[in-house]
Amino acid sequence: MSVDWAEVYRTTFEDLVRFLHRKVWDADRAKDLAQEVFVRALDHEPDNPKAWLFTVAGNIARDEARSEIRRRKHLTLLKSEAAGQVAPDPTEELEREQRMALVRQALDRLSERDRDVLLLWDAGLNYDEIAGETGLSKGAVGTTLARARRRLVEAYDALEERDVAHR
Amino acid sequence: MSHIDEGLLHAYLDGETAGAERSGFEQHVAGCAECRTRLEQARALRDRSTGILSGSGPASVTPPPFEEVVARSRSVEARRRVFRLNRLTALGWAATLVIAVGVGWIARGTLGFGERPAEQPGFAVVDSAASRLAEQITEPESGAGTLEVERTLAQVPTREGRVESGRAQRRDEPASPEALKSEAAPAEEEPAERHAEAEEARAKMAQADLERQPAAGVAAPATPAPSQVRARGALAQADSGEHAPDERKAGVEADVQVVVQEAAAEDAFAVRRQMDLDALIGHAGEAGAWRVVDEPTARDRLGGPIARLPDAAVEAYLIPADSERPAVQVVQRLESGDVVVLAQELAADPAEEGAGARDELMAMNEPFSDASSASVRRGDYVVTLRARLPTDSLRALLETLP
Repeated sequence: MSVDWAEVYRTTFEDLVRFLHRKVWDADRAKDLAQEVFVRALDHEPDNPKAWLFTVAGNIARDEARSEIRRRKHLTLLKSEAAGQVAPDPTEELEREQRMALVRQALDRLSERDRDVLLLWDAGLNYDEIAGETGLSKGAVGTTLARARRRLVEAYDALEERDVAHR
Repeated sequence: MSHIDEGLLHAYLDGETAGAERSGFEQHVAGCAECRTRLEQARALRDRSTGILSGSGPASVTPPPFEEVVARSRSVEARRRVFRLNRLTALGWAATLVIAVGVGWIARGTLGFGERPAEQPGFAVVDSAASRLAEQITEPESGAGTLEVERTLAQVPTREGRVESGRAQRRDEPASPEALKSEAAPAEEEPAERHAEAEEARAKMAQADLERQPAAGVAAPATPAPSQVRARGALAQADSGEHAPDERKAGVEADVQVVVQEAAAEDAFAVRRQMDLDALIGHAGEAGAWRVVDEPTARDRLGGPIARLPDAAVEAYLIPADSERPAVQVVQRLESGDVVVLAQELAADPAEEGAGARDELMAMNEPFSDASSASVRRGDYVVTLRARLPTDSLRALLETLP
């Protein structure tokens, strides 16, 4: 089976970046990694490009996270701060960063499985594809997604409340 | 009729129901006020969740030109070829070393080089030099990251077959179970093998030497200083060419006294070491960092007893560094020398509506490493075992958990 990779690239790249961004929390890095995933895809030529791309993206993001152990520093946070300072509209940028930090913390409170399913759905995969990625049955995807959404909203609200109380 | 479960409500909203399921759903909702309310609640939840996530994406994404990806793909393939050769030679140099010392030993014995008597045990010297090298290379920097190198060095008495198995393995291609098994050959066998191979090599080299003029390099000292041992490693690393066995033997004589910078060999080993253990450590939430802690701290974090494989030494306990998540990873070493990682965390929801049971023994291969994993549910915890072993073995190991 031959795959039109240029077309897959055009239709999937953005979703892949979104997906990766929620894992590495750095827009440039997410973009680099998404490109890296495609580089590997061209090398492997998998039959099911989309599923393969997201599986590999998940693994790359994991590797990326682990490499942080070695670097022992929180690059993302530093970068976020730096980005906030040089942004054209500092206030708006700051708000965006704060919102992003909240989402990040909220997602962190989810179990790995819930988070994966939620992010895969958000990246545009359907239930069948998510089932293929995670090993869940298709029926369990809806259940997991329902729970993940509820937990995300709850965690986000709680964090937001805490932040407001903090100020 | 019972009410529609939440999962199906979401599946419906996500457009993931069709045919009879969808019409049955709609029929039920039409006649059930409670499910109508729940459907609306689910819709609100879904919208809210989508809204939260959409606020966290990167501002805008412009894909770089596809051609750029194609170009990178080509250069990656080229790099990978070099890397594979390097790995091969990294194992190959060990064989070179054994042969080289053999040559020196024979040279003293048969050609009268060297001051000391011929019964000097040349091979024991190699062993101690190699183990000193091992100590230097495996000097722990993060506590847990040192394991693979030792195993690589356990392969010092390289047979051609083992070199092959090393070559057959690529990070992004699961190695065959045979390859893994042969790589994981028990360390206890090795001294005997080493001597047998050494004898064989000695015999061969002795014959070769008698058949031709003694080469200059034969005068190599029989007791190489550690720096020379390391120099050879660096040499093998620096040289990405693939030696045929004969070339390698010839090369030995020439390069015995060559001193190359030592850093290269250590770097190469460090890369390999880091890669191998990395493949086994699970991710700890978005930030992903794991911290090495002592056992009581790990137990506190998990909030319950830590599962460990019996008959396997514990190398490290890890907990998520950037969150308070109750999760622990135990790095253990099996008797075979294989390193496994036993990850455990509080299960998301004990009443996972059947999903838990289905996933009780889920195994998957990670496409980018030759590591596999298998999970099992134990009480409130999910225990996941990761190792570079066939999943069957992982399942069997999981069953040995107390």
